[in-house]
Amino acid sequence: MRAMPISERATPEEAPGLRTRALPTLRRLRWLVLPVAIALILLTLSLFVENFATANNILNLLVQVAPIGVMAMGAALVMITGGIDVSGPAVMTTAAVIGADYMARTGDLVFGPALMILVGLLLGGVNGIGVAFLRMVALVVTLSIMTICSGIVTAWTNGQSVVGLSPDFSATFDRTTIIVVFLSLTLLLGFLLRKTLFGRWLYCIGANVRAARVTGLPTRGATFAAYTISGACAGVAGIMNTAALSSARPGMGPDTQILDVVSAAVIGGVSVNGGSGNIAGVALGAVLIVMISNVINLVGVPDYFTGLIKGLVIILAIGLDKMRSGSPS
Amino acid sequence: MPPSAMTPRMAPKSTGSVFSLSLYMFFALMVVVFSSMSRTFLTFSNIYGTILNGAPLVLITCAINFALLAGTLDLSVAAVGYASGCVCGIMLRNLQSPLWMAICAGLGVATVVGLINSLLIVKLKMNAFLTTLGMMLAIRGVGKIVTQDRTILMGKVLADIRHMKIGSLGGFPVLLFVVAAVVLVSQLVLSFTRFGRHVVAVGCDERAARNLGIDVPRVRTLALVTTSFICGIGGVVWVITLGSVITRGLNGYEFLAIAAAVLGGTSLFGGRGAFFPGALIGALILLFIADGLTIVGVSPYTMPFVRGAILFAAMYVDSLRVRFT
Amino acid sequence: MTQVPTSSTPARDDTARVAGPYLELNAISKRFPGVQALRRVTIHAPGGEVMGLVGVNGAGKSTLMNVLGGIVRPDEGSIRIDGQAVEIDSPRAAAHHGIAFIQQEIQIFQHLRVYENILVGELERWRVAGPMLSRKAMRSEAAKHLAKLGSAIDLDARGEALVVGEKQMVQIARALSRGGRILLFDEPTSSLSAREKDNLFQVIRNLRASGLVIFYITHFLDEVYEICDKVTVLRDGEVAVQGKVDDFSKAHLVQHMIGREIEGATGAQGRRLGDVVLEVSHLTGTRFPQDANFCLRRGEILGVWGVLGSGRSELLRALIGIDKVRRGTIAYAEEGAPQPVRARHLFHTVGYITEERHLDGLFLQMPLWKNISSACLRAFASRVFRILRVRREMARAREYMAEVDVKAVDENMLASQLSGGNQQKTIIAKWLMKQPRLMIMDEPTKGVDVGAKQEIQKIIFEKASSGVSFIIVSSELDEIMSLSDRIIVLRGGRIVSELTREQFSKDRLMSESISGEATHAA
Repeated sequence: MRAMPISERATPEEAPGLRTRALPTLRRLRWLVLPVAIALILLTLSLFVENFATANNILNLLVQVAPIGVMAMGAALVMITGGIDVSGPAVMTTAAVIGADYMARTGDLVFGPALMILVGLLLGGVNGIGVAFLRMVALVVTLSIMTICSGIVTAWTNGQSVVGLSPDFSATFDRTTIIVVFLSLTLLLGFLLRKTLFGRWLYCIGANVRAARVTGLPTRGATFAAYTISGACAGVAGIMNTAALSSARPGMGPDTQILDVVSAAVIGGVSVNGGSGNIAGVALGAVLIVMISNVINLVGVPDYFTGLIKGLVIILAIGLDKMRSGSPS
Repeated sequence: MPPSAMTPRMAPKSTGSVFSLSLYMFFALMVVVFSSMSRTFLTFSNIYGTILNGAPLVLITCAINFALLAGTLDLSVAAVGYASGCVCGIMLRNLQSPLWMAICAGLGVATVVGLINSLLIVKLKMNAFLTTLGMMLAIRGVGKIVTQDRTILMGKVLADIRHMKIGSLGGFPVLLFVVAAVVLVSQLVLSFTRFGRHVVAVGCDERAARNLGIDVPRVRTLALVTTSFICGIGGVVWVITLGSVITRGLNGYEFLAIAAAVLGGTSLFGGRGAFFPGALIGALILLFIADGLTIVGVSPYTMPFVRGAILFAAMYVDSLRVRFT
Repeated sequence: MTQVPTSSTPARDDTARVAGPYLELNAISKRFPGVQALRRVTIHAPGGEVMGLVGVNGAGKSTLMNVLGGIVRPDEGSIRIDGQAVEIDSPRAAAHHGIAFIQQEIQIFQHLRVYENILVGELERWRVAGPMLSRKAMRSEAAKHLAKLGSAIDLDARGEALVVGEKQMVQIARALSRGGRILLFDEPTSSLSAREKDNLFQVIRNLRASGLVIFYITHFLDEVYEICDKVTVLRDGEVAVQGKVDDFSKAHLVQHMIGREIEGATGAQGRRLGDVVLEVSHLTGTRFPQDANFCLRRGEILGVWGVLGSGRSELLRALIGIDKVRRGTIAYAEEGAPQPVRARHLFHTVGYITEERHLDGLFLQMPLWKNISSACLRAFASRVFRILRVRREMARAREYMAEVDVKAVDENMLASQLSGGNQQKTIIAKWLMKQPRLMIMDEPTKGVDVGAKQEIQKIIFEKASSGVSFIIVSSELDEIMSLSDRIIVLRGGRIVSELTREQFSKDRLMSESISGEATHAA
């Protein structure tokens, strides 16, 4: 056998597009598309919009990206196993509301964030049990959790925002901290997915769950873990959002946000069918999605066009994903 | 595993009928429980009101049933209904159009969306779940734009129409007949037309269908267009019943519709399911549970719980059935 | 049960046939990117004859059938039916000309009823009032076709309620109702029980008597002698030889199929068997197996034989712990005397090769090395943080690739890009890496061409010589007889007999698996 250099490229792992006519070099450079697109948009914005390229603005942008990115990364883990998690924003809101309420009432700013993550873990765990152990359809399990969460949130808060949260919270979890947490999670989850045993398990399950089972991989445990981590990520997103807004309210995670989350993952190279995708792409995908929203605002388009444009963007993203893999989903 | 070694002959037939039986039993049980807890449950006005208000859900459930049977998925159903209702309402109120024109416009919008969906999903072979999710967002966006994100009260215009509608055909509003007609016609189409049988075939096994010469893209396209068209009917019915176009109209109905369809025995994988009784019963169960809980005095905050729990339970039963077949 | 009207004409009688269509394939060529799949293939098939089509995987059988079925268009050559040139450019066109392709995969719609399944391709014929179909007319038409096949299947049963043999009957009825005069059978017996196979063959004989052209593709050469009148051997896309079945011996056919002398399976004798490593007592599952008792020694190859449905796969699954075990004990030890083990213990320690490699054998979208290392991943993970040592993984994968001689460019090739035989070898390599002392294989050479088959058998012998024990299920009589040191025969989930090498005989194995009485070979 010829010894092949093991190049650990940043390309998403996937089957090659069998009908692709691009030159091999072009295919290998595919991973550049996303960063280049983002760079281009940044460039255009800084040229045409005043005060865009300030540190303040960029920080604000990244603070918006962080929660979406974190939820998208959790969802990506699940999608790589071939499943789907639509409960992200709902779980995030639930965690945020419960945690913020706790902190407002007791002033305990240490356990508060932990509580948020805990709530996320719990809800993600329920998803995991439904999908991994009860063998139910992922879409519907996470859908029911999403519905139940909105009920929990409304019941807990009676429809009002949580008041009385100490300003120290936002002071501690300031913008820099939020961004640092986001980047750390990106590195951590990326490492987990690409380099560890657990990550390989997820890819195998997504590639062929029956083969994974026969081979002796812990399919149920790993799937359960993926959903639980996704829930925990939603909890972290809850922390971020609460800190950024200095409060938590029921409308924090509208169901439409799930589209942002899933688009970020799909744009970032995660295939809906499972078995491929990487975290770096997802993070970049989140940046792109948030930037698009910002662009829309900056350009002066009225708010209600956002939905329309985002919808079109996700359709475009899916189209590109399809072209990328070259086979029908 | 060679199927002959594994599949005992009786099993599939009996699980199917056991499931339907338990559905009816659950429905009956629910009726019994609620009527015993409250005098007003089993009254004519309550049943009538629930069904009337639930007409859009029944229609949207029928709509999504077509998509599911054909082996695909359409999450934009509620959004399409909403958009159709918006268009219809705007035309009636702002443009003072005659009723028939407004209805046609609403249905036309729905059909166009159906065609777009088919283009993306069937021709371009994009993932149905995500694509229709995107369409949902886009269409709701269009709806918001058109209504400028405000509630439109139909007020006097609609009162006239309603007055005209109610009291015709023997005391029952025409709308009820519309709903009944849609359900029955859908079932007839499914069971007794070539298109219906082809939909089931394609939903069961797309490749085998293609090998037999069935025009799979055409069947799927037609199914998706039918889905959107029925949503259009649902949206128009909704606007006329409600009397106004609210901004968050039919929110979440797509998921309710999936729940209702699955409750009624439709498989998410395609091929299996019915309109009558299936989807109809599923939708009625959801409607009457909501109604019953409200009557009994349960806090409205528990509604999402109950819905989520029922959805969960229905899915679980469905997954059991798939496992034993 | 079904009663097929028996045709009185014996197998290969050329007299008194109904005139049927005359099919000519003339100089058919087809090229796919990188490979010439068919090379000037010429076959003339008159009606009233069964033409067997044999050849190794990749020889072009499927491509030829796809050409006839309208799924693929030839680059050159022509097809004539009754002297008229025909264009077959779609499955519908093929159906129009009376060609019916009865494929290996089930083409039955599980949620449609039997009569709908039969008529689903031409429903427009039964429209009565506008678009509405007449159920009554459909049912009587379907009943007509089923009666022709002598089948008593319930018309109203849903597809999902049928067993494989019945599904096949429905497919044949479907072909006939579409005016099928040229039937193409692709490996029709691979999922049938012996009784269903006999039924099918009787039906084919009847169809032949009514003048149809019948193509019969199979891997089982015994069947060629049983049912076919003529045979065509394809090799590398060309016709290697064709003629009357009687004119060829089996060895002849195999020689033409692979183009070289096959070596007999060597290595069967002269192996020293060690102590007992596995003791199975009273193993009983939910339905199968029933009270299974057997032992296995170190380095021994135990064959499991039985007809389809006799519980072979279930025995393996119960042994490994995938299926629930109601009663019985399993004692196993890698070294020393066997100790009782809990359920699923074997699952973690042995190699298990499943029957359906397409479904659960491989990660098709992943490169070879990831597939090969997938059963031993924990061994490559660091103790802390469980980081995978990819370099080591790839190196070990390369080793095992070489050991089983997987023919691939390198270890980065995707599993989906390999041929069937190489895929199977990859799966074997995967389990070998675990270095198990016991390998359980369910149909290890199913769907694998003759060349790769021999290589796999060689690997089995080599490993057995180094002390690995094997339990092998196989449907091929020759294979199981040449591989095994001992054979246990299953019938109805019970082990009805155990034969040592000296006692092997085809006659005995066949008879034991079907019934208690000995039958005579035809």
